[in-house]
Amino acid sequence: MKNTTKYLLVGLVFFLSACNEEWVDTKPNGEPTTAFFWKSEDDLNRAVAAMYQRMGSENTWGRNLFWMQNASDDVVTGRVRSESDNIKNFNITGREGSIANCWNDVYWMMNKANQVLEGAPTATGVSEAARNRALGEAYFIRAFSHFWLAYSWGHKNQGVPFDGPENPEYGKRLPPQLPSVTDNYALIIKDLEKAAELLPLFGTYGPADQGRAHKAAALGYMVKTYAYWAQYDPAKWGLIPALADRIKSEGNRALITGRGGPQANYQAVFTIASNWSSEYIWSANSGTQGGSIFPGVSLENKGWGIFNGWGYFQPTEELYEAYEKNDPRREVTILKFGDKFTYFGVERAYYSTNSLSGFQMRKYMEPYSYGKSENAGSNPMINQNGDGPSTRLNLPLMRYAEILLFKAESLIKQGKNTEAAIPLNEVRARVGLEPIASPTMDDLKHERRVELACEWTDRLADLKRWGDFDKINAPLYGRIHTNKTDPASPYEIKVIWPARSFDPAKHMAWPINPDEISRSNGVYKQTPGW
Amino acid sequence: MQKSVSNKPRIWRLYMRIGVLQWIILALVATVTYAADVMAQSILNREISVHLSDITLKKALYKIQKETEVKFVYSSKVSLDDRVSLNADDTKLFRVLDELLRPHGITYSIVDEQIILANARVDKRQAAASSSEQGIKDEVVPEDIMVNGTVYTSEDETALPGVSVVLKGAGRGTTTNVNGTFSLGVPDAQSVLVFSFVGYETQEIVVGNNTNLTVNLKVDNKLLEEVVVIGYGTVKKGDLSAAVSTVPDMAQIKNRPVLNVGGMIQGKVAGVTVVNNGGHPNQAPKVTIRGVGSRSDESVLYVVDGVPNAPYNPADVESITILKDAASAAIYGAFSGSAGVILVTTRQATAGKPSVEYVGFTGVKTAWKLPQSLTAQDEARVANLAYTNAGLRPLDGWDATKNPYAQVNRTDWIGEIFRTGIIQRHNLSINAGTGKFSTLLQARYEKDEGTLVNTFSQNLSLRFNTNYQFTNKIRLRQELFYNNNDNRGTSTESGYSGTILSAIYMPRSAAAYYEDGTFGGVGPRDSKYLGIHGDAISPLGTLMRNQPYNKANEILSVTELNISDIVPGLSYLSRFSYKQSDRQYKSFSPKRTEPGKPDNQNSLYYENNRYYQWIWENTANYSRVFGKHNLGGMVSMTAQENGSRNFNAAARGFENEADWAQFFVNATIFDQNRPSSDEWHDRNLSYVGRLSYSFADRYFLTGSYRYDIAGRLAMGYRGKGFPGVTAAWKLSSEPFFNVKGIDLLKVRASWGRIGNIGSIGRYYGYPRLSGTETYQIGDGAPRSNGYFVSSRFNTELSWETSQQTDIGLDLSILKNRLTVTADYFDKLTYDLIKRQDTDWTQTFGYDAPQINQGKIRNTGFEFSTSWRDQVGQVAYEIGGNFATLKNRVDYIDANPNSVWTHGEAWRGVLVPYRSTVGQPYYSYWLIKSAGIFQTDAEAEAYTGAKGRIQPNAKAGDLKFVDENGDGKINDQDRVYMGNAFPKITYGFTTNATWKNFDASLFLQGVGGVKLFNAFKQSTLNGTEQGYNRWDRILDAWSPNNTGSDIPIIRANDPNRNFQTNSDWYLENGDYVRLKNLMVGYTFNNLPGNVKLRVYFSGDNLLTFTKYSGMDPEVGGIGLDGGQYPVSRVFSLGVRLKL
Repeated sequence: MKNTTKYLLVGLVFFLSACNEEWVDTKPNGEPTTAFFWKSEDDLNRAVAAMYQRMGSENTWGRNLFWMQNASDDVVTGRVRSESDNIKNFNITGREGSIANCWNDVYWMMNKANQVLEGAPTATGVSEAARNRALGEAYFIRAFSHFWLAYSWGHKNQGVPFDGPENPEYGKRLPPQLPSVTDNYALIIKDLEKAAELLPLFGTYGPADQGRAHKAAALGYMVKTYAYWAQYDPAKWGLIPALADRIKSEGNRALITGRGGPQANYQAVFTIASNWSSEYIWSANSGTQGGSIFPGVSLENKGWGIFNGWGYFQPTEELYEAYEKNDPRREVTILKFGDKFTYFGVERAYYSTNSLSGFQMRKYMEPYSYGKSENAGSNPMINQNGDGPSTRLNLPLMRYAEILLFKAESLIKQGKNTEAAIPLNEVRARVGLEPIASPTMDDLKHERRVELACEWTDRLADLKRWGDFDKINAPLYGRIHTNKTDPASPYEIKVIWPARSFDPAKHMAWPINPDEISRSNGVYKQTPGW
Repeated sequence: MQKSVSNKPRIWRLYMRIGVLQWIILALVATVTYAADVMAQSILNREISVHLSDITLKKALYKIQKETEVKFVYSSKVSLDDRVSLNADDTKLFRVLDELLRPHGITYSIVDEQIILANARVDKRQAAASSSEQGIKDEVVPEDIMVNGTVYTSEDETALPGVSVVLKGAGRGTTTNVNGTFSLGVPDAQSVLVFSFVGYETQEIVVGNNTNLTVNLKVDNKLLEEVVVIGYGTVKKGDLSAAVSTVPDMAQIKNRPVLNVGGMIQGKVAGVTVVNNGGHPNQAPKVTIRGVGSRSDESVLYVVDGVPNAPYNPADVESITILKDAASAAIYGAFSGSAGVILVTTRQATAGKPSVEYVGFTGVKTAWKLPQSLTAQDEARVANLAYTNAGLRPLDGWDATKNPYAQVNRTDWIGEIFRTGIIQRHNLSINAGTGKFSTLLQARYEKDEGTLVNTFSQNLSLRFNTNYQFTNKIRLRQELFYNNNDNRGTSTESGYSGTILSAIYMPRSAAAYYEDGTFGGVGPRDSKYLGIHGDAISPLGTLMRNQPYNKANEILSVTELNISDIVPGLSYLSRFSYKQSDRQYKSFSPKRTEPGKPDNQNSLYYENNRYYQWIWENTANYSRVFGKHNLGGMVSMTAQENGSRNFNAAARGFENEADWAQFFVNATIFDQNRPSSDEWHDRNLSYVGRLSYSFADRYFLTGSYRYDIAGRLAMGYRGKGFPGVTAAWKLSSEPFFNVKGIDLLKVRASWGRIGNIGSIGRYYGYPRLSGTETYQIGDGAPRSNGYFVSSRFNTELSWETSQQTDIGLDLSILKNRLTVTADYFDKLTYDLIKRQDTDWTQTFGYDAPQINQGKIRNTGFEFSTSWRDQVGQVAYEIGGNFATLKNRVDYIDANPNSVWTHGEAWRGVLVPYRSTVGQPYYSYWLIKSAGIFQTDAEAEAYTGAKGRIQPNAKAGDLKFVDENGDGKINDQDRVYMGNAFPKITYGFTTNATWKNFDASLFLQGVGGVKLFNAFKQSTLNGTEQGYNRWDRILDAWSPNNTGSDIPIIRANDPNRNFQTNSDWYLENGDYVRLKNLMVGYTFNNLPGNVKLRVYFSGDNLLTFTKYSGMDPEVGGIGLDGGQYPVSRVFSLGVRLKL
């Protein structure tokens, strides 16, 4: 036994002295470490993919960014939700998750673009074409996210925070709030110019690459940025027509026409088949697993017992009445009582026991027409999970029609009303409406409203930049049917949303989450007025 | 910022090599028997049961010898012919022997596992006479002297009844009566009387000429000789110099229907706060020792029989020791997680004839206070009122003439989801052994059903424990433990789909099941009015559809070699433990087609997980006494590795949902869920040393040091040392100390540091990219995988350290009947590890780095006391403990305005927490409310410098306090209003036995707790999206019900009554619970040496609280969104030994 003991002790001594700090060093598996990245095109593609991640988030183009647009006169919140009501009534602190999360997610997206802008220039093992496209996509995504932040939270006297790797202090300080939102717009334009230069044309993309940023999208957002910038600097209007023309000629973008009639032309825009049509400029690409859930969010609450519609955003009587009598776009855009539509393979007439206005958006209904016998599971075009009701229909964020209307608006603003008639009437002609020889701003406002109604082009931002505050503040009307389960039931028009008190001295931009200001230790200032 | 990272790996390695050899050489020089002591101790601590009735000592010892396999050896000088009677159940052997032998003047000692009997040391005269005694042992002694006397306690001189008075060397004796007096006939003046009584030192008195004796019995200090397990060793309780607590009343606690150590400790130890995370059967309570210090994960380290994080059978727990101060926990260094260490010892195989023991209980569990939702008619009424009050037109669906369906009560959802649960445990042990080899075989089955249907946790375990005694010096212990766990839980936390909240959200008009037997939704499928209901999910469906296969197998092997007296005084222990757990999880989620929140896609999910951990620990222990100097030393080295492999896959699109079809072969969609796999390993190396010194049982000093090297940290930042020092002065042992009535008086002080490694992710030194996916690229929105950097990397991240000073006092008076322990501690945790949340905004667009920032201080006073006594045949014990805790954020950074924001939110609306210097960590930061405006005029009259303070307020709205007087309500008006962690904890226990009955009562309570009742936000709120509500809303403010504190029912909320982070939600969470009441009966005289105890136990019988939610024990940070309530349990238990 004595010997055994000795051997054991000798063994112990060996064991102990064999151990050293290297022994504890195990190496990680799975995801690559940051030290071994940017070494192949695959790396590049994955970094680029991360930039797009939030395109399909509920906090962004799924629902929450729309709460701010919901404060316009075109739509109301269709169901009781106090936080949303208070956003619509400008009665908020900025901490409300429904808007604070948008800020967080869009900045997250911007950061991923910055990561590509940092890594792609020195990536090894990649072709120059791949590098350029990646950089172009990154400039576009940075500008695109920057634009949403700028126009939502940016004020004439206080821009939104922005930083990028081209600044030497990048990462070493809080991204600084810029002096004015126009400073943000200037940087957005710079990024979009680079993106337009680097990005390929949409037409060069095969199906596997559709959805990536492309040249016309960069030009399109330049148009929109200039248009928003122009409210502070009218000189910017002059830059728009040429860009719009490039989108048409270089970008090969055009309205969808020739579908057998004005209504069919317009109807075709909002179909799965037209996800990548000539009219497409930029969309939240969507499918049965992910993408924008907006179609489900704006569908009848509980979807008549068949699918989980959320029932949130509903058109107002004002919007319905804004259309010219013979405008086919009204019926494509809005469902009213008695309107026939196909729902999971079965035709039904619209009624709603819970629509506040008596209307529902119709633009995003095509995916729900598929399937059979009102069985949701039989519909291959929708996400079966009612908690994330995306569909195969892409959510358009910018269509060529909007470019034509911006071109028209810029020409009117420059006093070239008759020139403006050309793009404006192109939009009207597609839906069979009479041309207007010398359109005024009122004509333009009307056309923009009805052509883009219920889309993410932001009617509220239009009303703000046009100074039409009385329209924001007017009470909103809806149709109150006597029997809400009867599609043929008569109705009365009544106030559904009382007059509001938008104050241009206070409410031109949305408030920042006060916690964000706390965390900045006072470096950030609240949006002026709030 | 304090930095204490040693960045000298090379030097350390050199030191390590030399150091280890030195340690071994040092260890090879000495005497004394650490292991032998343990051995003898273990023999004497064996529990035996004997029933002797008037038989000779010799026969009695023979019986014990048969029972325990312990050999008794005695010289012919020792007489064993006295007749004795004794009944002892589960009594430690030393107590039995004391009882049997002492009255007969026989002492015993242990040599080589044999118990050697000898006559007690008497004076020479008696020794000389003893040989002649041999010859007359059976003779009848004439009674010629009658001795009377009274027995008193030596301290307060009260009479002691029931004291045994025995004539030495003869079979005669008596006991004192209630007045403490006795009378006994003795043969002559040389007769020796032996006085003995439990808890007192036995005394012998030569009768002499005095026929009227006054005897003073001294308190036996054996209680203080009790051995306490500490880290890497044991120490006599009386010699403790650190703040170490053992859990009292383990016998009672083990009988209670509590299935984990956390539950056993609750309310029992001052300074240890145990808060149940509600009543989830598959979640253990959160144990916090001396307050929350860390900003991130801070969990207590459990060491079971020397093995960190080993699984165990709670029915087997013999003792629980809590290392409360950093000095005692420092021996576990970084692994003590800065929260402290709990040492658990379990039953071990003992020598003895084969015995079979069954211990078990079965109980019923019920929730004691449940909310109820509105009836269908009331829901309609409230919905219509809400719309009317908001100036909106009521929805047609709530019009009884249009939608009568919604006006009929069909389901009591709360009743549907709650049930009476059964809790049971059955534990069967077989023990047998000789001195050379002993085994313990155990099987356990336990199942704890929650009070929510289809929730449970179940364990099946098998344990094989053996002890091999090769020689006197070499011993091997082998432990094998297998456990199989199955559990099913539910989420009650979510503000959208929480199970209990869903039961309130669901309309009572909805059917629980449709006619075809499927789960019912918010209304019939063909209803035209479904939109009046919120997107509520059937809680019954949520609970019952969860039918996973969820089995985890865990295997533990511990091999422990113990060599004592390698050279005299040096013992060596090598322990290798290996643990492996394998879990397979298969879950099929059927389609949820019913209206509410449908999900028309089913899916099958599989997960396989294998975790392992091995620890090799080598410890040398040395101790020696040089006269009055007692010296001890310990060195240890531990290497450990743990790791895991994980794999999961899922698929969708099952045409058939039948059980047999729930396999991948029937899935049609494979591209929507990607399989995922993962593998990691983590290694750590530790060196531990301790030196202890005591002088003359008066002065005690120990110093310990641990150096940990953690592989997860970046090279160069891996090592850190953790020192601990303790000192004690036992005043009562001083020659000058002569205070009557004080048996022990000791003052203690300790200082130490422990670290926290749990808050740092594995492979921190190798920052990895994070994976994500997007659907933006490609026609049809396929999934594309992406990589990104998810947070900034801080190369300088160091360890979080907790430093603690403790001053304590141990006092034992009145013959140890009253013991008192008091402690004051000051614990400062610094270099806190947390994602940076100051000077870091969301505009960075990625996560903040982990940094070391800030200090949190916990100070507190702890007091525990116990009183043991016997009144006639009633033996009783009263124990109490009380602790205060003051938790403060001490420092954040150089900027005095810095705060820590906390993102925990309720439904994205309420964000009530924030921390700042001078306030408790995780304080509520709220706007004060001041009741309800009773009239519009009152609301209009609430004005400041700039007009109305709440411009949208009307009658029935909450009034908020404009704290800073700037005329508006915003963040500047928010004030800090305490937190959820108890500032006061206390427990009170009484145990009593009378004849064969025993009873115990245990009260437990907390004070200074504030809870945020977020359940009110979702259920008393008129604006919430068509959900049904808590029936308390019927008491909401209205012009006719002005006394209410619930704001007016209204479908909009322009005053932000429910969206404001106000103290309207904040409630007092203090409570006192009658935690347990137990009554037992022991059957003593069953045939065939059968022992039986039956008992009845009630847990959580009464709760006194002002909290309006279901139960005040919400857990976590106190955000109660309808937490699974802690239940009331009635159980019946049996202990049967054959």
